[in-house]
Amino acid sequence: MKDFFARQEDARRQSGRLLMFFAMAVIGVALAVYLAAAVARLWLLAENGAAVGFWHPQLFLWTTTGTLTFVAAASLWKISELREGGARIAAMLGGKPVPTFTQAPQERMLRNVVEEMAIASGMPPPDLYLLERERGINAFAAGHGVRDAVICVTRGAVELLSRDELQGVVAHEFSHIRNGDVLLNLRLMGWLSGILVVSQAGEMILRGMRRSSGRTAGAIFAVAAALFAIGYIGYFFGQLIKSAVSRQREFLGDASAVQFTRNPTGLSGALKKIGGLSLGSRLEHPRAAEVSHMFFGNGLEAAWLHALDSHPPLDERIRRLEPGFDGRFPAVKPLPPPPSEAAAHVVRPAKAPPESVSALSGVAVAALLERVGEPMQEHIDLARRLLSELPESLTDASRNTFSACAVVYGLLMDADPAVRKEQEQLVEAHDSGAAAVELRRLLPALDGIPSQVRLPLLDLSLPALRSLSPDQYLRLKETSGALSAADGRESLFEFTLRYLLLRHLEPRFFPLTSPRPVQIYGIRGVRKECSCILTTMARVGVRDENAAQGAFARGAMVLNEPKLDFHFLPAVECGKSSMEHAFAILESTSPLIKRRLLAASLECMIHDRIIKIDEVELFRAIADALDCPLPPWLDLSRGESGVTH
Amino acid sequence: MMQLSEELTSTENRVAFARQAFNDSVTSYNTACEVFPASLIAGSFGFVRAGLLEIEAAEREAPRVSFT
Repeated sequence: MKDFFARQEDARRQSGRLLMFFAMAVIGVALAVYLAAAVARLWLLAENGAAVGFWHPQLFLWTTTGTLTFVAAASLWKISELREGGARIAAMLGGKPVPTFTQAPQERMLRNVVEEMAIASGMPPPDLYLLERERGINAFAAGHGVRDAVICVTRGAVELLSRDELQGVVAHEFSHIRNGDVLLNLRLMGWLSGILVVSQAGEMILRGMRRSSGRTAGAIFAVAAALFAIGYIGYFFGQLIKSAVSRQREFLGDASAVQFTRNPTGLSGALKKIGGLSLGSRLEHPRAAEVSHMFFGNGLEAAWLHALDSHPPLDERIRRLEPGFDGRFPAVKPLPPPPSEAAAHVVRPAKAPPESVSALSGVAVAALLERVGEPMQEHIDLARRLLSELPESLTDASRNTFSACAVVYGLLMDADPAVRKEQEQLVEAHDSGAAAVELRRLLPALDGIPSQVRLPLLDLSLPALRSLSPDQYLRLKETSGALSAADGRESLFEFTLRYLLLRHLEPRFFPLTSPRPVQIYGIRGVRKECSCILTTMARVGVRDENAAQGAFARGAMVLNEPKLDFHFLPAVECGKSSMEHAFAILESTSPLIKRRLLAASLECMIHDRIIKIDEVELFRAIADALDCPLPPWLDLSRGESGVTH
Repeated sequence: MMQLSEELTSTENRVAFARQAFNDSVTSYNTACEVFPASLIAGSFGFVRAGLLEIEAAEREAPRVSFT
C-alpha cells in the first residue's frame, strides 16, 4: 500500500493531467468552430465554381482567436461573479459563526479541533461556521485562499462523529484550502460556463435568422447550429473532466488529512458513518446544489452517470485508507429533526453573547488598553464572571425578543418611586399591558445588579432585539424615549443607553444607503466637536468647574495639536443635541483622528485617578460612536483606582 | 470534568501536531535538497540538512489526571 505522501503525489499528478485535458477541450472547441466555418466557406465558394483549399490561415486565425477570447472573457466574467467570500457562502447556507470563546462543549471541541488542524497544516485558523439545521454528516471549505477561508461543519457531523473522526473531516477541509482546491474549482466552473456561451451564441444566431432565406443565410444557419452543438459537446466533456479533477482532489484531501492527523482510522470512521447514516452526507438546504463541489462528502443525490459525480464512491475512499475494508457500513441513528423555524429564532440569539466577548480586539482599543496597562485576558475573564453573576432570569430575558424590550425599559427606570409609577404607566400606554407585566416581573432582579453591568446587559439584549418587527422596533424606540424623558431631564446614562440602542438597531430596520465614508482627515475641521466631547467627558468626572477645566486641558494636550486651541465649552453648548451632532460628524473622520480623540477622552477620564461608572459609560458611548467597540469592563480590573458610584 | 479532559486532549494534540508539522516540513526540505537537479548546487549555496525534532518517549506520554 502506498503511503499518504505517495498518494498525494499521485492525486496531484492525476489532476495535473486532467487539467491539461481540460485545456485541450477548450482548444478543441476553438478548432471545431474553425472547422465549421471552413466547411461553410467551402460550401459558399463551391457555388461560384472556384477551387479553394480547405486550409485558410486567415480564417483559422480569426475563428480560433475569436472563440478563445470569447470563451475567456465569458469565463472571467463568470469567475468574478462566482467569487464570493467564504463567509457569504456560509451565510447563504444558513451557517452560524462559532465564536472563539464558545462555552458549549461540542462547539468548544470543534473549535479546538480546528485550531489543532491549523497547527498541523501550518495555516492560520479559518473562520468557523456551524450548519445547525443540517442533520447529514458533511463539511465544506470556502474562500479563495488561506486568508479569507472559512470552514463550515454540519450539526450532524459534530454530534454523530467521535473526536478523531471529526478531526479527520476537518483535516480534509484544511487540505482543500491549502491545496487551493476551492479556487481551482471556481476557475473550472468559470471555464465551463465560458464553453457553454459558445452554444448560447449559436442559439442566439439561430433565433435571430429564423425568417431569412438564401444560400448565405443557409451557411450562417449551419455554422450557428454547429456552434450550438460544439458548445454542448464541449460542455459535456468539460463537465466530465471537471468531475474527474474534483474526485482527484478529494483523494488528495483524504491523503493530506492522514498526513495532518496521522490517524487514518479517524477519517475512514467518518466515511463509514456517512455510509451507515440513512441521510449520509446529504444536505437539506435548497441552495446546496450551487456549492456541492466543495463538500466533504457528496452533498446531493448521486448523479445518473458516475463519471459526473463530484466525489469518489465512499467505499473506494475508505479502501484507500484501510485496504481491508469489507464494504459493510455501521448503522448510525440519525439525529432528530431540528426545531421549527420559530423556535430556532429564539434560540439563535442566545448563542451570540460570547461573540461580544470575543469582539474586543479592535486595534485602536488594544492600543488604548495598553496605555492603561491592562491585559486583555483579564477583561474576558472578568466579563465571563460578570455575566455568570447575572441572575438567570435576566440572562434568559435578554435572549427573548419580547422580554429584552422589558429589560431595556427596566434599565431606564428611575430610582424615585413616584417617577417609576409614572414610567410604568408610560410603558402600558406606549407599548402594551403585557410588556408592563413583564417589566414588573424583571424589576426586582434589575434593581439588584451592579451598575457596571447595566450597559453590558443592554449589549446582551441586542441580538434578541434585532429580530423585532419594524413596528415593534418603533414602539420600543418611542417608549424608551418617553421613559428617559419621564423625570423631566435626560441623565447621561439615559442618553448613553438610548444612543447605543438606536445606533445598533436603527440600521437594522432602516438601512443606510451606504456606510459613511471617511471624509475628514484633519483634526482642524472637527475642532468644535472634539471640544464638545472632551468637555462633556471632563465635566462628568468631577463636580467642580475648575477641576473639569484641568481634566479638559489634559485631554486637549493628548490631542497634541499645539497650533489649534480647543475651548472648554459652557454647559449649554454640550447638551444632548450637540453631542449627537458631534458623534454624527466624528463618525466620518479618519481612523487616526478617532484614535487620538479616544486617547484624549481616556486621559480626561483618568485625570483625577478616580473612575466613575458614569465616565465609563460615556466613554463607551464615545468609543461606540467612533466605531471602536470597547469592552464595558474597562475599570473593573483596576482594583486600586476603585469604582465609585 | 468533561471540559477539562477536552482541553487536555486538545493541548496534547496541539503539541504533537506542531512537532509533526515541523518534522514534515523538515523532511520535505531535506528531500528537496537531495533530489537531482537541486542536489548539485544545494550544498554549495549553504542548504544543509536540517534536523528533526525528536522527543523522548517518556516526554511524549500524556500526563495522567485522575479525578478523585
